[in-house]
Amino acid sequence: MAADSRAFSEGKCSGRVVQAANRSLRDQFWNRYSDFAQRRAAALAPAGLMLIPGSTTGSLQAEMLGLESVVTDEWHVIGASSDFEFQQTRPERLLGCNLQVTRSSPDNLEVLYLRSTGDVEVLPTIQQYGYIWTTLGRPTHGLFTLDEYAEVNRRWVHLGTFGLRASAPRAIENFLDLAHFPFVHPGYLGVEPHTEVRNYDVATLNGGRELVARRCKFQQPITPETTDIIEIEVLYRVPHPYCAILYRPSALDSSRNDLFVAYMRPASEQETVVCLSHSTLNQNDSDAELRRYPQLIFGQDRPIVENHLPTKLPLDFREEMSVRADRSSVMYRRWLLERGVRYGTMRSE
Amino acid sequence: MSDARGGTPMCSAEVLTAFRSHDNVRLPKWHPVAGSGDLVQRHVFEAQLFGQELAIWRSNGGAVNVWENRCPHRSIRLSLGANMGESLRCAYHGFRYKAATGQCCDIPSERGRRAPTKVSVKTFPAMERLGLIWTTLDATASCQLEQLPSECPATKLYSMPVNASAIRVAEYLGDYSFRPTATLNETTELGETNFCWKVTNPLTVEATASLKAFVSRVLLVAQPVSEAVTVVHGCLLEDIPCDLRMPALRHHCDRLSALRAVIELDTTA
Repeated sequence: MAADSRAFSEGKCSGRVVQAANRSLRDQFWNRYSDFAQRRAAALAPAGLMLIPGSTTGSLQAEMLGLESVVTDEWHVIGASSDFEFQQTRPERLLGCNLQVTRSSPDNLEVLYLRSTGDVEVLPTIQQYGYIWTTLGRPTHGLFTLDEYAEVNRRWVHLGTFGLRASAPRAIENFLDLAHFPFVHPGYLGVEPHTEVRNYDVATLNGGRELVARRCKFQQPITPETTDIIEIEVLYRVPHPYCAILYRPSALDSSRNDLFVAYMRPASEQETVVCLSHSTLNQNDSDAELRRYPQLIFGQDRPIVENHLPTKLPLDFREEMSVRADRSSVMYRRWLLERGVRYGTMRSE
Repeated sequence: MSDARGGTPMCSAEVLTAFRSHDNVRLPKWHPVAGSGDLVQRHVFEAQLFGQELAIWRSNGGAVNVWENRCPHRSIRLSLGANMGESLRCAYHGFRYKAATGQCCDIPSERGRRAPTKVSVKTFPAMERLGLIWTTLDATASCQLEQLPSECPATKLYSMPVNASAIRVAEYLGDYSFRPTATLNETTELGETNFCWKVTNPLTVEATASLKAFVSRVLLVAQPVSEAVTVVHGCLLEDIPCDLRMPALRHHCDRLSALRAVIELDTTA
């Protein structure tokens, strides 16, 4: 925990070096990608449809969709490769666009974008952190870093892929929120009367590219059966407009963390696909055992997240009244505003 | 814009405007939004009027609260919350709002730090008449229900949702036919009954059926839920003997169902 906080406050991975490295990687990627797209074109095109080999530039794509390029030129999660059966094709949605996803090999997915005009485009995919990612535009950077993924003797478990009838930014705010624990997860993540949220720090890091909430302390029941309370301290990281990570000190080694990661794909402005991932040092419990608890928590959050009125997140601060415990939510909204992310939010016209 | 963005549901102001421009009709200000019996103790009832979602609940003292169905903090529907008797508690963060005023009286995450701010839920006026809960979205409306029959015994009928606009539904209510309550246990033909309809306003009809010496009066009111959905509320304006209560409710439920089928068939055609 402490180690992480320090790494973030020192801005370990910010700076121009990373950006320059990204740029050369990016050029290499696009050169290789256009070859690939040409080759796939003939094989994949449904009969009678014209195929565009990914020639559209990011900003053009954004303009055609009427969306902001900061969102189209971003990597979005499609799912864990295990979500898709080998050689089967399934329709999916991303930013309101229709996709056709096929698991072409044991660890890769083929993603086609079916335009409303009838044209078909092959979208690039990358595999990272155990998930498949795609984009409608041209990302100017790679996916955010998750250093823990390279660590040894650490276990990663895919907790499941879930559909939510909610906007992705609303779901992210729910993920970052502490104050709802005693009411939505009573006995599990919180319990009355221990409802107070103490002040915590929220800051942007990495040149404004990510948001971090540190020293988030909350009183939690040890088990649902007892009234004994323990104070936990966690860290939240938002490295992507629609992804958030929870760092919680491991019960086995307090110098290292357990992680809960929510990778969210805005299927449309009011529908979201959430991929939940968990990393732990616990080598004993089975995957099924590790999945039970977070799936229960997710099930408790669902009716809340799906009942916002309006569904989309307001960026105008007059729309909703905020209190001190909402600091991460307030900062997240400000961060979205500054980055120009509008998808899933209400624009004040 | 483009197909990438979903449409936003119409807000109440737009729905209201759509209604007004519809036939240039003068709509009543007060509308029924629930039956008195819908407000069970410690329950929160959800309704809609002109697209405006409402959370309706009765406090311990019996007073009715008609509130905007939205917590001012993070916009969660208050109908998910808990009716605590004297206040309503939001399901998300436990914020509590006082009955009658809708003023916030508890912010659990801030406990021990400061008193709640001036925040309050948007409230609407409420009235209980003829077994129905009435409200108005118009802040300037007087406290008078327009052209309702004066206090008289009333038996609330089962409410009937219809997939059509309220103006359209009200047109059909103008020839609602039924049998006088006292004749329900006999085998008299419906055709021998005489009807009389009084349209008191564009959404309200008072229908009278008379057969020989038996006369029954029914008040029917169309509640504009949204532009395309209506709930028909009705009540029999008479004292009904116990043994005729169920037959009467069943009879009107059948009549309203038949009417709904006709309206929806005509609307989709």
